[in-house]
Amino acid sequence: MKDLLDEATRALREETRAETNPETLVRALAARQRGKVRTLRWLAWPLAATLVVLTALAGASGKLGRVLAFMALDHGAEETAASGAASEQPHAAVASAVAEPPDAPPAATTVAVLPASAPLPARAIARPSLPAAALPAPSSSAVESADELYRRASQAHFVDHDYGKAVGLWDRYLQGGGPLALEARYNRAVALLRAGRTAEARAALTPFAAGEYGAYRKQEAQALLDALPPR
Amino acid sequence: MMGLAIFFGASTVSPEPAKPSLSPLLQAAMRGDERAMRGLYQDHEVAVRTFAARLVGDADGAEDLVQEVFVALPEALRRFRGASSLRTFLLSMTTHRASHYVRAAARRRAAHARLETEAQPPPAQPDATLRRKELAAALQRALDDIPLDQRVAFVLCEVEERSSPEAAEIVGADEATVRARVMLAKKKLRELLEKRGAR
Repeated sequence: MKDLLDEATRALREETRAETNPETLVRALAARQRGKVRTLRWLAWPLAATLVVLTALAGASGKLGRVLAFMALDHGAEETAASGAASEQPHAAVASAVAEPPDAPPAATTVAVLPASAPLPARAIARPSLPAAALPAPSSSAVESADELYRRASQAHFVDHDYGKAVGLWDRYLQGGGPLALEARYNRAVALLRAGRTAEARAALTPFAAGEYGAYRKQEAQALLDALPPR
Repeated sequence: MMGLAIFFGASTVSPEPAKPSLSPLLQAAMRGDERAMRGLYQDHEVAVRTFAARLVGDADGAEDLVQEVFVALPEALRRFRGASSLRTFLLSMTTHRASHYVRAAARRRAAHARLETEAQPPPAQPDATLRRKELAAALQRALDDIPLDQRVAFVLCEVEERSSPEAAEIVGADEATVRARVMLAKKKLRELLEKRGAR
């Protein structure tokens, strides 16, 4: 009779061989994202109910007109994101917290269109935390701060697993033109993937897969793109 | 995914003289050469990732653990004296940093197990593949219920098929201790698999 533990051990050995390939990683990420979507769906009902109640209260108190007028004045990315979240129309997500440097891949374009059915992650509509104009110009002392920024981004990404924050920090690092821009760019793409910002991740991975940066992460990026769900 | 190890360049690694017995690549990495650090990553990433996946039990946690190990590598190289291979040193780092990831993954598995009463979609995989996945998952759940030191010893010796001297070096214990941990682990795992009806 076969030893069940031996068989299970072999199974684990073989399964975890597969775990090391990028497709499996993407599947794991996708599963986690599906979990988040389910959570968001559950949150949507109470939020919608609250909105209805508040609207009714504003109407009853005669302030609805003022509220609507205030909302109409709020233009820009917030309006886009808000309408995207509330309507059935395709919406645009602000893709990047900070404008990318000139050598940025297509991921750096500022707007990525998501399908109407896609949930809009809160991070995707976050406003830039630090405008590009507010960033210090690169200088000799900025090289040191670029190192520090890379450390912080690594900490957020790989230790704290705060992928939304990591994307912002990678963006800032790239804006500052640090010496490890290529690594930062790839890490940013992975952080986007981890944060569930699939469309942006796809755009960020594409130049790597296309060989725009030579062989660096070409295969990995292509494997990740292949494993992503269809648009 | 990668790259972070590369960043910790000359400014962060002490200029301690490299040991003559170490490979040129490792000596360069210890001097803070970022290309060398990249080379080390490329040489060892798969082994570390595979071990992490087996120890933690999910790709997500393993990925994070791998990153943490390579983030810490430049600093850790200050302590590296070349007494073991770098691979062993990296696996030892992985082992010592694994507990948080193992616990987190175990919590996730426990949560999933509670939800298993929900309707599952029909399996779209061949029987053999499905059985392999089920057995691996059953073993991972059983591993969640044994002490971490036994888990590490079992994964190193049984799943990774490493010798007990090598496993002992990785975990920093003597061989007899490692063998005892493996024996205890196997006994408990058998019981758990049978009790839970894995077949």
